[in-house]
Amino acid sequence: MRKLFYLLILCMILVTGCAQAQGSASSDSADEFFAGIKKTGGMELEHAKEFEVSYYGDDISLIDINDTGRYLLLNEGTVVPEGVPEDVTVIKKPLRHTYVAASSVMDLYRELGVLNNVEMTSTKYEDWSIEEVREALDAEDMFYVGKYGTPDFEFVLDCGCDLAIESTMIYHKPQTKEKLESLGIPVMVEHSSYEEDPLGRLEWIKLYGLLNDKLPEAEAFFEGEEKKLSKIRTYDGEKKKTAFFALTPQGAVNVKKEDDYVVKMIELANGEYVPKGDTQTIQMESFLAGAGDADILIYNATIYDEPEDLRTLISMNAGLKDLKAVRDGNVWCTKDDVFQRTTAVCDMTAELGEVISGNAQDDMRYFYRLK
Amino acid sequence: MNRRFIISFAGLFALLVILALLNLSMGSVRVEPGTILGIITGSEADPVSTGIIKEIRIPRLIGALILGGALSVSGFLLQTFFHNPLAGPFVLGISSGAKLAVALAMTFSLSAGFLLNSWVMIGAAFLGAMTVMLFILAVSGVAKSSAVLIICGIMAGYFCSALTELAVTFADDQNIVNLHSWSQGSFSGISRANTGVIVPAVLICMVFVFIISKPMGAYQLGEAYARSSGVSITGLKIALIILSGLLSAVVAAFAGPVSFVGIAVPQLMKGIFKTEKPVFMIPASFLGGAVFCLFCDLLARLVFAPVELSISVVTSIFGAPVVIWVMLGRKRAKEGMDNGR
Repeated sequence: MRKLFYLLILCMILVTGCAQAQGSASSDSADEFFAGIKKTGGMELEHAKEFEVSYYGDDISLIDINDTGRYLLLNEGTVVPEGVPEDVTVIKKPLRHTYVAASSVMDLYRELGVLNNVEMTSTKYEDWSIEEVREALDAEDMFYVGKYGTPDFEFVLDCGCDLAIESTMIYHKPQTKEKLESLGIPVMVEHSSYEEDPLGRLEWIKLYGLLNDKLPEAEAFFEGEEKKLSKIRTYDGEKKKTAFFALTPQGAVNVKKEDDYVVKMIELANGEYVPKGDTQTIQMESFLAGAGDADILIYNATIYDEPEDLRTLISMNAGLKDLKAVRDGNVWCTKDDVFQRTTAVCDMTAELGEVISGNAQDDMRYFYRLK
Repeated sequence: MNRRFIISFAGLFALLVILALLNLSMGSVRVEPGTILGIITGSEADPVSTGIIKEIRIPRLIGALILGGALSVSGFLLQTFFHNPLAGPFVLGISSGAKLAVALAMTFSLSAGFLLNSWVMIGAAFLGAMTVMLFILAVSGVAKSSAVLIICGIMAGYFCSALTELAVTFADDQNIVNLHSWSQGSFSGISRANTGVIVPAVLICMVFVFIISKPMGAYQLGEAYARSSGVSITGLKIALIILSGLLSAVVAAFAGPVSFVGIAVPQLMKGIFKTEKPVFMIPASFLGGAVFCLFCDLLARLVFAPVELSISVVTSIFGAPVVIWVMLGRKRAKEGMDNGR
């Protein structure tokens, strides 16, 4: 029996060894690949830190997304250069059958007028608040292909998918990304949510402009939004303490980390974000201690159900009634499409500015007062 | 071999072939049988159909077939070991160990600037499962009673679950969502490279399972009888734990935890074959598990397409009634025997 045991262990080690051998991938030197192609310029980015684009002549661009990967974008008809390193994913234009599994990207496509290039989504009809996307789904110009982790691979392949845009959630379902790649579909992992500056997040529109031959339109839009924000930046006066939170069904409080772009939006709008910290879910006691003297409370209704009124919110946790902002009647709630409206960063910041300065109407486009 | 066995094996094999063909030919995209045959023989060159069959359906079919069989055999080994019809592959905390390791990998990989790939996930799940199995093996050297061992297994499961919750407490929302999704199991992500590991790993284990089928048969008749037949009880117990642990660890690694197959299928096979002899029950459990998982995976893929159900949802829906039916059937048979006396 002991011999049997040793033999079994030996066999399993051999099998595991095979698995490791299959899983390893070689990587070439980037210098080798680019030796024959001269860099001619790069995309001008003022705020985005999470990606870069280098141009190699008129027809080849190299997109480098932080902690994600490099993508070689080729104009229509351009031959793939020799010696492309294994870690570089080749994307060939035109991109007419895109699968968008990162919902925040869709609004950028809408703004650029290229929603017709998106044929598949992993977000259900009822979860979309962008009307144009709903219309496309209704008209069957766009299809829901299942959840991002288990999409209908057969359907995606059959549609002739030429690019899959995923959020970083896909890193926790690596099999899905690898399966798409094994089917010959380039997978680009979107990293805009890691931008600390709201304008940096918005500047990603230039990347999608490049992918869809709408770069001038993207640049013009971005310039316009940047001007809007420069007006907001002129706000002065005393900074008001502002909390942005949601209550979990378990009674804890979901808050924003200090490096989150929502925190930066609040700061741009002359607010001081509270409670400070780098934890996403905190106990109610900690929240009450950190946000007890907050001037403004903003309830994030995009995660859990939105409270109908202030009484409903207080009934979710009676501890809230003693907060200064509740006593002052300065409690606000987000509307449910706030985070799908990626292009509305500046408008949202402007509304936040009005809330914080005390000049807001009770019902605005992205926020409303809880009474 | 009596007539019942021949008919039952032939029936199971026929079902296996039918379900394999259905899994191969049915999906959200229609691929004609002639095209499938052409792809398999190499005469068909349409890249879309070839991708669908070779990269999606065949690896998934092989995964469901082999892992389903492995899980069922793993359950039969443990039911034999514990003399308990409700002992399943995960009663020893093996899936909890796998889940803990996956949770740790998910939570700490990105924060450490390290991107997960499927082999890391598989390795983490396997490592977690094997760690718990080694703990059980160590306990089995001290505790002579099966009851103590099963309690230790359950406690190991609770301990791992508690540590998983601890990791989840500090995890981002997306980690929590993905961990929940992983813990429901799926054959969706199985690739051709995966099958290159799954098939030899399970087949090697199955060879050893067959080797111990004779001593298992003696063990079923009681430890004293087995000992008098020259069976090393300690060695057999260790072999049972290792083999069932390895089989369920391979399943957890490649498909995540899959519920009920390990409990329900061996019970169903005992009901069909009317025997508990390992020499028949091992192949019957493997075939039964393969058939059951192919059937459940077909439903998981097709019923709400393009939304895919997790495999545990389907196996539990069909597996739970089977267990209840078998238990009630046994009770009725026992009452019948008592009334006849």
